[in-house]
Amino acid sequence: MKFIIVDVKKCTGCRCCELICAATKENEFIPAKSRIKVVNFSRDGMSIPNVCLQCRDNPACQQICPVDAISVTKYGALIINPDLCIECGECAEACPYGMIEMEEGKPIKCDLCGGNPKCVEYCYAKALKYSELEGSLKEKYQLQLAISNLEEKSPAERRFKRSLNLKKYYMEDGLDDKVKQKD
Amino acid sequence: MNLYCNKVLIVDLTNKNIFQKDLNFDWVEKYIGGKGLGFRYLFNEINPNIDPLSPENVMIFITGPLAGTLVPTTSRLALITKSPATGTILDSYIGGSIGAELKFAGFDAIIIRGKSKGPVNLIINNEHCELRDASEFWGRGIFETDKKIKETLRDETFKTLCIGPAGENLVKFSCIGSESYRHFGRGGCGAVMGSKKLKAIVIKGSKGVKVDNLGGLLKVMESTAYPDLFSNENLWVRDDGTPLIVDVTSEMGILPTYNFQKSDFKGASKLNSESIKKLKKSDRACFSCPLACGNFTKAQHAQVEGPEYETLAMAGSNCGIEKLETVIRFNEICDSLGLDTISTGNIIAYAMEMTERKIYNFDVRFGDEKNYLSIPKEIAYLKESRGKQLSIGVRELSKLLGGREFAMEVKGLEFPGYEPRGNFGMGLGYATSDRGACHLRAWTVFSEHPFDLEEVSKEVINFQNLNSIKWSMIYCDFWGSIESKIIAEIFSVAFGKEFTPEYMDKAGERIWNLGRIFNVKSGFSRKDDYLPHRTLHEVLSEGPAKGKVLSEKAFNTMISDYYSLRGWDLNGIPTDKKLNELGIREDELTNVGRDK
Repeated sequence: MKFIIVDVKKCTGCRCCELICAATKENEFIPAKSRIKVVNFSRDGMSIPNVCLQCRDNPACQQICPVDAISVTKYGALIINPDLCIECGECAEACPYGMIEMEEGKPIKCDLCGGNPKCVEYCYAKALKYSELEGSLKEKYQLQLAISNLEEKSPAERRFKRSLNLKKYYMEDGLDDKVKQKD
Repeated sequence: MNLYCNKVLIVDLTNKNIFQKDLNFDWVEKYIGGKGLGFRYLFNEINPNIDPLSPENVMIFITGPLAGTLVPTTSRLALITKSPATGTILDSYIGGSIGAELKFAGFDAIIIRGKSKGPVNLIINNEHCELRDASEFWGRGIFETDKKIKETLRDETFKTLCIGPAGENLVKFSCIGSESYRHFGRGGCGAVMGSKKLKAIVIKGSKGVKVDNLGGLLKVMESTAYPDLFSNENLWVRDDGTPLIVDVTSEMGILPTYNFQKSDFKGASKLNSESIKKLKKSDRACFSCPLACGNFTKAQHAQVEGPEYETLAMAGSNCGIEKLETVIRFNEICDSLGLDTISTGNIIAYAMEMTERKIYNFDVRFGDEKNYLSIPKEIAYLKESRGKQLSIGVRELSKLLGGREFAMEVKGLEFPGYEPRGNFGMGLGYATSDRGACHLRAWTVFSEHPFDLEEVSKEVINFQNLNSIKWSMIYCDFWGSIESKIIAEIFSVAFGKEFTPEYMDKAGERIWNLGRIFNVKSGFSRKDDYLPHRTLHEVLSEGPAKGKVLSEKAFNTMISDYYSLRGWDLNGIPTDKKLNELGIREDELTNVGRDK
């Protein structure tokens, strides 16, 4: 089973992933409706792509859905059946990673593009990998799985707080805050 | 609407009035977007003779038609205004993602008119636009302002365009910064914003850009755009970024050294791409760009995206500074204060030479790290007599204090990082650029005939014309291999109508001439297409370009050739014949009319 795994240090912040995702799913260049969301920390020279982790163990979205509209495909994506979905918004509220958004009343989330994710294809920085969980990729995935933020209310705030914590982890030393104090 | 938003946001700071207008589509087909369309709008907004720091001046922030799409490098934003440093028309460009964000908010352009009574920020959140008091931000640096505005709005996803204290204090070479790593750098555009008491423009957009033939556009990107973008000619951008050019100019003997006294620098290897890589933490990209030219570096007490070649040259070798960490620190200081590193480096080098020659004591010598690092803050805050003096720019300062022969500028814009005596095309380019000495309009560094007067004129014209259409689409300079065939192909698919390469070539020439007309109406002519005394009279005494000088005779020959080839008269004025040929009508140039 393959997952989209993020190599944070390689992300350049170009957001081509957001553009191709939205173009593919919405037929428009509209990053607000992208299923992958990059959080930029330009002052630190770091960008954090936020992807749906297609949770294996107790996916919060699937568990909370009152009508069992969320199921796992054969290639491992958690998808929402639009025929069953009652647009209650519980899944978006439940996801601790902020990776389900309600757009015009309907939930949107990553479905791995049927097993051939476009974002990975268009990432020239090679910051996104579509791979089995093995070796260092497994470590990266597990770290990213471990960091979430349920205290925040909106998915955007959750992604931001989560990205802030990931950034702290990935920055090598604590110099940055001292540097920025003189800004 | 396909591609364009069809909306221009008009902000009247004097009357605190904000309203929207449709984009003028009559002008769009002729002038496209970016530089071309911005120039056309400027003719509609101002009389070319106005004082650039008066409320009469306007700032036109304008995208290209492809901004917000996946077409690589096209989300740059143009700023068109009249320059307070030169009095010429000014086009400046910024990378990052602010151009895309403006489209996602639903606007192709913003026109800022008038002057606010007190400091204000312009907040654009999709169609909700308002002016808010910015007193608490006035006086703060750009990084700090960006951070505090986002905190105040409780939303980190806003993108900001800010001035620092340099712009607030109307420094002639102050700049505008965005997202902590990109700038509208040159021509004193920060001072125009400061004169309007506009501290920041803050944008958030959640709409999209529609392309009728989205599938076709993605196909042409695969078949044409990406293969050309990734051709060998451009890979240096990805693999090294601009610091690579230090080795290039060093080898050619055109690296500005000690205020252009010399043209190769013994410390160059400490400022080159290899040295940058030792301090690099990450690669940074602008919106939609797979090349990611940006190098994010960290020194002991500073971190910054950069330094770019121009900073390494003008504020490195040109000032006799060879310690990379010091240049990084200088870069960070200027980015916070909102100062153009090119002009700031240039004028500090002038001050260094003035001091060493004992013409005027600025208390700073070549290689003097301590004073070099203190001066930017003095300039930005107009502190000490030194800061105040340097803030007026090298042309005006040298007229007051001397050293005119080695004040390296054209029309009041300080020379950037290429020695024209070792590459005549750069000299002709500096002299004939529409905004003063600029290296971008005609980058002839790899010319096969750098000293052939006839060839040089032709090359410079071709570059200027191509860049005029390139910067109307707004493709990035670092897509160096792009030319009118590709530009036409991509635009035809995106726009939904056939445009030929010849159409693009003609549009480029038209747009260049439009800029020239503005300058002519502002009083510019041949006398202003000059080069400094040093370039025309001092022979390079050492290095790979030893023995070279761009003699006055050679320069005059090139200028006359250049005018002739352009269809301009001997005074550098476009003839009526040329303007007719290009379809520029008199009423386009004299009808200054604004909607209420």
